[in-house]
Amino acid sequence: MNHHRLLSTTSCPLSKNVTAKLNSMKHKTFFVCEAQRHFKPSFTISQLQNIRSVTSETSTPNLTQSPLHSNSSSPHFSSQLKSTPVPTPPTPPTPIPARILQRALSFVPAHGWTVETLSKAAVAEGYLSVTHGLFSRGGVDLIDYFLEDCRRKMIDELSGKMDGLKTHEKVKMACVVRLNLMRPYIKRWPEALTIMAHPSNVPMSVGHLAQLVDDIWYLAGDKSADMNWYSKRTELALIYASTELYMTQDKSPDFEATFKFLDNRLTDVMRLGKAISEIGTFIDFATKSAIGILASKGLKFPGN
Amino acid sequence: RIIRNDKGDNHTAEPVTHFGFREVPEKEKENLVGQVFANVASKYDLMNDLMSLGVHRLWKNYFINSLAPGPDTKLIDVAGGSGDIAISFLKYCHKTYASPSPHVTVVDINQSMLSVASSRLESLPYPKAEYDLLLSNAESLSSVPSDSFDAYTIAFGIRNCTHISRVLSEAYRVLKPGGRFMCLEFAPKQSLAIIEKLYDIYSFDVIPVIGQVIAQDRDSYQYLVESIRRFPQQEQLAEMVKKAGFVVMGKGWTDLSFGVSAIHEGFKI
Repeated sequence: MNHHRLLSTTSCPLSKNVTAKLNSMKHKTFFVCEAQRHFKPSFTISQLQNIRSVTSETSTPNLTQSPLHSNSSSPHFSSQLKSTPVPTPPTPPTPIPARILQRALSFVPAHGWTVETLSKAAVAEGYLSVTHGLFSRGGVDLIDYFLEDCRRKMIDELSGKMDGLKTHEKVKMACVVRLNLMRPYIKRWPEALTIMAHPSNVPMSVGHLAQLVDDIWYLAGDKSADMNWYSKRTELALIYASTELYMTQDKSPDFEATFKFLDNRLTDVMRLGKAISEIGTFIDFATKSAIGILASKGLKFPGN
Repeated sequence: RIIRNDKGDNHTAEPVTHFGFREVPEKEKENLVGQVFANVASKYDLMNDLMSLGVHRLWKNYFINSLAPGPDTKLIDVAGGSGDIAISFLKYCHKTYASPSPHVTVVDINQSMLSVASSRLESLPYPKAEYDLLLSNAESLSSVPSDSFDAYTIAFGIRNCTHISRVLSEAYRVLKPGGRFMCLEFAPKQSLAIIEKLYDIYSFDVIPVIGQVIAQDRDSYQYLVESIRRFPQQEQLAEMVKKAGFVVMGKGWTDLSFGVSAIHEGFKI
């Protein structure tokens, strides 16, 4: 099984037997599924929570290009474990590009997701304005880093706070936490969305969204191993993306309208989900009744 | 690599290097290259247009846009005899910023090339204070103090240097912390087989002939074409850049035009 990828933590439902076997393993690995081909490699949640297990048990051959995984005996390993990696990894590994990107986030409200922001951040960190060249895609690299950073912050904030809640409450809490991370940048977010919509950047943005919804469902305790796995994530992706879009034009105090919008969408889906399964039950019943009636009239069916 | 002299003892053995497809003693390469450039200096643009079918202008534009200098960037452009990069740099700064204060130092080992740069820079509307010229060997920029430039560029020059690693070390030395090294050069390995084949045919069968017809100098053009093939491949050059102390992002280079040329980048952080 050399499909080990340190990607999301939940299993693709395509192979139930293997899934059952894997569930007993400490790390949930998963096979590269069609929809997940664009995932950017990153940390599994269990690794973020248990550093020792990573250093002692991780021996996956096909590791990501992130320097975090390439050398588990590096002295920087445990500190790098906690910080968000840079989209294009530096060789030799150094924390400076990540530091510049982190600093750049504070310049975003004023200057947007641009090379100018990166230049200013580089100068603020004590380097030169041309040092922005570390990030060959410019603003795109910054957005990439920001999305990964938000995902990690969300996971950090949620760990330990999800006990005792129902599934739909957990999902709602995760979405709320994640949306709150957008608050300082929401005025500049429409620009980021435009950049993310460019064809060359779509794999990056879709990958982040997919990873986000997967992590939210994992934290909410999703154990589905059938087509539900896909439908849950698709639904949540649509809900989350539309709420984020709504938030960019929300002028209500403290974004109340956005959270109400989120509430409504989640309730809709729950109602719809229940309705769909009710419809399924109804159709099932109606079909069986019809077959029964026709069979009693003498019509032969295969299996009668 | 050493060669023995006729007597068969190696007291007087000299290190050899490549000059195109020939082997020559290291000490002589500089002179030979100097002669080549003295010959082509007056028709340098023509030579570049021949070698790249005019695409070199696009490459150089991309190069400077990728550098994206700030309003007060200090650039050292090495082997920049033709002045192309220096002019492009000054134009970019003046076009992008309201009141920039850029500065470029053009370095070249060859006086005739440097004169070309000088005359072209003088014809620009920019103040003389924004540029200066330096006659020096890229392998040892002895009159340039350490930690003094924001960016170091070398476009289509590094393959003519005898010791690439010395050039890279000097580049590292003269850059400030945070400084950026950028190298634009023809690459020996193309990424598409058909382009490689066409480029080979064009390089070896067409260019020297045109050189002979237009400039009456087949040998210089032959050297120029051969020197590309002897240049380290993109991966090897990226390793050398790392060895000089630079931090390299991702694989360290970008292919242009399917690998006909490549930009290598390193950061002194």
